[in-house]
Amino acid sequence: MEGSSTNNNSPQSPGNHLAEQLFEKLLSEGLVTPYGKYVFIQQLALGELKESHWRNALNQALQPQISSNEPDNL
Amino acid sequence: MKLLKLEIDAFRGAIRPFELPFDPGKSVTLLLGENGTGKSTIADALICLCTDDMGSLDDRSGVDKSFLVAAGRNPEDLHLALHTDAGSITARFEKKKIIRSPSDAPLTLRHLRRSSVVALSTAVPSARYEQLAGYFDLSGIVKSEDNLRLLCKNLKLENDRFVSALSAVQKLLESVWTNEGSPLDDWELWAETESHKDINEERLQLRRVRNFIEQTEKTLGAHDRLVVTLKMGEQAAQTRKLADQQLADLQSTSGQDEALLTLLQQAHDFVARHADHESCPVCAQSIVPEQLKQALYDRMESMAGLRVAATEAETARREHERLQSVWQHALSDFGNALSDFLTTAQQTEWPENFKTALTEMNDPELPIRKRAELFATSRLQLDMLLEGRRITADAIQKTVDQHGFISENWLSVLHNRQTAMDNAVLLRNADKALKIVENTRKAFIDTELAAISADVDDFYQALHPKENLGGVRLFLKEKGKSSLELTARFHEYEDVAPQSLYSESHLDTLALCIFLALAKRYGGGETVLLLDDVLGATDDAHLDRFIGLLRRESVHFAHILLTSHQRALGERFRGQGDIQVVELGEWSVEKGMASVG
Repeated sequence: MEGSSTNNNSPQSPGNHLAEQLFEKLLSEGLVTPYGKYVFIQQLALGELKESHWRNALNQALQPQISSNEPDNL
Repeated sequence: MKLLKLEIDAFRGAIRPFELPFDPGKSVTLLLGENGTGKSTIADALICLCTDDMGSLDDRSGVDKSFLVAAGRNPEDLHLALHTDAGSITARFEKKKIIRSPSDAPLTLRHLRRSSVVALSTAVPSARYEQLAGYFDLSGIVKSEDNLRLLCKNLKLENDRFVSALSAVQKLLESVWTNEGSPLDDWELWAETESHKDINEERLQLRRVRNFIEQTEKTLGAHDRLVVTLKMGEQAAQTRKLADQQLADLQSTSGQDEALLTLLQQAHDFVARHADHESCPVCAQSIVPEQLKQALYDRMESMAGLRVAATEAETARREHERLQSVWQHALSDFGNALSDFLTTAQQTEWPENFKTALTEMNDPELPIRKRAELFATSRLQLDMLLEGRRITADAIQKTVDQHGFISENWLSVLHNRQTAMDNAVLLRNADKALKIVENTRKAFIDTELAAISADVDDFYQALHPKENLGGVRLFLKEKGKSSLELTARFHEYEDVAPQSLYSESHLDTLALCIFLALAKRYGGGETVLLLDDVLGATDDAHLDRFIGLLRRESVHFAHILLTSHQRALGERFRGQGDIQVVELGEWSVEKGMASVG
């Protein structure tokens, strides 16, 4: 069957694109925080977002904001 | 990116080194050649350089990678290289594998072969989805989504557990409240009030009472030991007296003296130790040591009874003295215990008659023996008082324990309530997140499929204008996660399965359009399109339109390579500005592959 050598997890890949969309939607609903955005998106796209990661992310959104100066993880 | 040159040696049909130069000014290459000239060799070389596939060998059964090596050549001779203006990719054959360098190609290769063309348009929906998944892989998102689904499930289970635990503790407290007579009309109010009560006073009182009990028990124990040792001492004194009397009587009747027995024993021991002495150390008379020793022994034997009596008297004396010492210690211990007891007793309420005895016992001038006697007379009363204190201590302990029980369980109620609430909020958010992920994923795929469908239809109309065909739609089945449906229009019939009404050539071109749309959407400037002999059933008019379509769409790719056995294509398109035409000549055993012109 025909195939390709595409890296489906490159920054512009459909998986990453959808992961970014999902993150923004979850963020707009207040279900996640902006902290650790890039790691979250990467893990989401790669299927590495385990149950515990989801729990932590959702819990974090329920806590008071820690600091507005905390940088995003890359 | 521009392709510059392809080098092939010892690979498939390239039994001799072969080079395919690309014209960097042209974005489409037509590679023409009759069967067996090496078109598939060139296609397979590109596939092996840029993907993990084996090219046309993938379509055949019973093959392995060693088949990639050209006949009559060694595996280590195999050499592939693709040179571009952005770098080169090379490949060699080692340990039965194709080793690429770099391992990740700097370009993307999308390839379609004849065998795949029909499959693409006529595959069952699930297989068609698999092909699509090869272009945009959302399996990672699906996996993350499944993990979120698992979280929702586990949160529900946790929630049930918290609710169950909370209910159990609440029931427990409620039952205690009922047993207590349902005070304050509300068990929660009662539990909260009870748990906030300050019971330090009760704890202090319990400590005092326990201290008193301990001290009293200690004193009573010391007194018991005193009484026992006194009795034993008296018995030992009696035994001693009898033993002394017996010895005295025996000495009197036998005329023998215990001191003489001692002297005889010492003389015997001296003679035994000094067996070489020949004279008596006392009177200096000559002696025979053995005889003297024997004589001394015989004499002692004659006094055996006295010896036994003397030994018994000695034993009785020692035992009596030992017990006297023990009694002295017991008296001292009792004195200390009594002193501590009397100190503790000051903090206690006593009956009047016992207070008198206590006052007397507290007199520092009174000898300890007298105090012990006084204590003995008050013993019964003290035992009764002690029992009363034990009952008091148990009652206070029960109060303290109940308070602890209520406090602990009330805290547990509050904790479980809070945790259940937090969990419920988390569960609600997790459910909401799951809906967002599911719906967004499906909407994303629908959008992608709509866009792909639009492109497919655009291409198809370009190939089949005014034929009243097209209206291509790719969509997911409603309840299917991985089932991709394909419908099209056939004249006045809308939404038909193309394989039911389209001709073979129309199905071929439909497959080509789907492939082209996918490659365009998920490709980009670094994508090379390889179409390996896919135009088998296409007539000239449609061929022209197809080439025209490739020329139009070539701006979206780094390069398009189309192989065909139709030499007529070369005649039609050679010399056109953006198309490079390469013709392969006859293959031979001596020279391998060759290009013409």
